[in-house]
Amino acid sequence: MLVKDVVADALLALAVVVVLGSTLGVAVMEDAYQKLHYVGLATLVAPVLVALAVLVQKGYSENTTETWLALLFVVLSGPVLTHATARAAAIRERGNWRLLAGEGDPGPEETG
Amino acid sequence: MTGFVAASIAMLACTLPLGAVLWRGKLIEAVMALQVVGAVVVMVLIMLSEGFGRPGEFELAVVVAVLLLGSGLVFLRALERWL
Repeated sequence: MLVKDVVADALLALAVVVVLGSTLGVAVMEDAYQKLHYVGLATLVAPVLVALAVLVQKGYSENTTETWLALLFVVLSGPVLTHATARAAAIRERGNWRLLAGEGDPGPEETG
Repeated sequence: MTGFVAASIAMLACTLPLGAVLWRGKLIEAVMALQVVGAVVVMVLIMLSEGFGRPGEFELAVVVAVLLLGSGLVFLRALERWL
């Protein structure tokens, strides 16, 4: 077994452990805002580890480029979705704060 | 079986706890679980393509990754306004 195989397998094992931590965190934590912290593990940390594993295994090739492209989308959309989720949770709990302040676009109450 | 195939099987197995969230959790928590599963699916598709040595299948992972953002935002917008 080559050194690069060992390194790639170690990175993959670490990615699996990170995903396990993420899913357990989402399952165990109490409310939505606490769960949200653990979503970031699976959408930010694990993809980078998988991308590094493919890079170590294959070097610079077509596979690596497409892997990095796919995981770049996952890493970029993670924070956007996390923010949008927190916003949706806040609006569902307390109503649209901009409406309460008398400006902004109509929330659920307005559209009926 | 290469490390990539084993890791993809293990990563899929890791998503089992999210089944409880999808089943028993509130709607907003179910959307969070969906986001985690979406990211895991992209990684699994990449690892399987790499593990089985089929470069043509990387495009599927890229398409799923692009659609993750759009579908997530549509879900959340619907949650804010109508659901």
